Amino acid sequence: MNKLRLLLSLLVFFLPFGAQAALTIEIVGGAAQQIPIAVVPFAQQGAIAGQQDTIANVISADLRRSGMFRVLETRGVASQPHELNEVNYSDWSAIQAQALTIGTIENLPGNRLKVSFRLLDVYKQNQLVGMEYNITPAQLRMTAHKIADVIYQKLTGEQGVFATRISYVSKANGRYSLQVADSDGFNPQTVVSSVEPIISPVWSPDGTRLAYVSFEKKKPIVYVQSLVSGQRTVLANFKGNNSAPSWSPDGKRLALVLTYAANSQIYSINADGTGLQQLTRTTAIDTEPTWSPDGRYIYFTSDRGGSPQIYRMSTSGGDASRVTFEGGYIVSPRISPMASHWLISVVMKASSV
Amino acid sequence: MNKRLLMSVLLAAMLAACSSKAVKDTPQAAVVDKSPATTQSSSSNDSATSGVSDSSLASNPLKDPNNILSKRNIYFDYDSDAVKAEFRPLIEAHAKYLTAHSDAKVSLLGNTDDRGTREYNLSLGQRRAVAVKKVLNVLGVQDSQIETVSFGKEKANATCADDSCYKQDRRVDIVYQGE
Repeated sequence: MNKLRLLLSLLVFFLPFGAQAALTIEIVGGAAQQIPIAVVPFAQQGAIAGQQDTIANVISADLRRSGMFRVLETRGVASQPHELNEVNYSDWSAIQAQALTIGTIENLPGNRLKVSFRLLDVYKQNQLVGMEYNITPAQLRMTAHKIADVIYQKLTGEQGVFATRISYVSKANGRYSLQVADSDGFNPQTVVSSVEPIISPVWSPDGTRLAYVSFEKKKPIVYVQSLVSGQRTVLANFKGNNSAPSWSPDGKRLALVLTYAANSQIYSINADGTGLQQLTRTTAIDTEPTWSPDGRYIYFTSDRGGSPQIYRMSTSGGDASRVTFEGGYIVSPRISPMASHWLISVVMKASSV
Repeated sequence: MNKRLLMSVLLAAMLAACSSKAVKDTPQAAVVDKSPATTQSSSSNDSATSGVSDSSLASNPLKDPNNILSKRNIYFDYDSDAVKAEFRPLIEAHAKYLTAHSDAKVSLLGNTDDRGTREYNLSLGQRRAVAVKKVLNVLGVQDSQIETVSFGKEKANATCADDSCYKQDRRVDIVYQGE
């Protein structure tokens, strides 16, 4: 069985999954207090029969996967409303639903669809939000992700990330492929493939470009590839290793790691490969740079203190201050987009290399 | 505020959980890519200087299994880039060959075992390659004859999860140009 490695772009975690095309993302754990929500299958008027469940299924799967929701079984409920006037709230409070999602899909002329949905508060018996989308049939899944984002935002107060894409490297039959897919793993597309390793893909802030490290020339070189045109450029191909790209929040510069002068040091460079600037000058390993959301700092991994720990410096370089102190092996800093002052790092027990 | 802390802890826990999975799964993935870095290089179609190795296979000291020059692997300790004394004769032999053949060039390919992150291991593999390069430099080999490259953990070959396998991956391979 193929064990493919999945690299999520927002947070780097590795998950195993089975088949190459259908990608299964398994997330363990969740919020202690999950919001109970019922998602009634959308009414389907007209053609595309058998598709009507797509929207409700995708919404349910998204919400469930977020860990913030308990998606209730709706099949046993007597009423299956699709419009506001069909809703019998007591049916839904009976199964302890706090929120209810209903909707319809209608055929429009020119092979288009109109998707309408409403999010209802079962306790207050009112509508929280309602929306309509005029789409092509191919946009059904992405529309469901957008609806899930609206529901997530309305009920948790945080922005959802369902209508986004992920990038990851898969390995099958000795070949590495850099792929992008919908946030739930559907619609995978290959960006580049090679018999040599590809690592560290990162999205540009606007989501139109990927920076990544490819070993296809028998050494690590950093490329930037447009997902719009497919065109790619060499960002950094200096003597030694070129790796660990990280976009600045404005997408104009990238931090990266070069071994130009022997050991791994952090540099920054314009997105077109000009304007190289060295940021760290140590005899230690300095790697895995990542920008703070406000663009003022770069967090990175360094073993200058003996074992790898997280440090922070100005984006123009200079003195770094140590951020983590505990544990023998702390690497891969990531800043949570939800709370810029929290740092997430991977602590690996039984460390080594 | 507390909710944010909870989220962070939760995410960190998820990350940790997922990372441990990766360690467990990688041996299977690594099986696909069993060829060590040296064979990767030899299979490249870069034949520009192949005359060096083809000149006379029988007497080529680099290929002679009885010659120390045919030994190309320098192994390292757990989380270390220190070149151990037992590999000194091997490196000295290559230094002697390189100083005698100023047209010969080597790539030092640094590798690590499968534990740890890709980028950190890339740096560690590089540091191992540089450690070997420094020994060669001290023994008189010119910088222009040496290139250091790291594969980090990408070529890690561990088919089991204990140190008897990991130690095979913590190494620098010496590959002559044209091989």
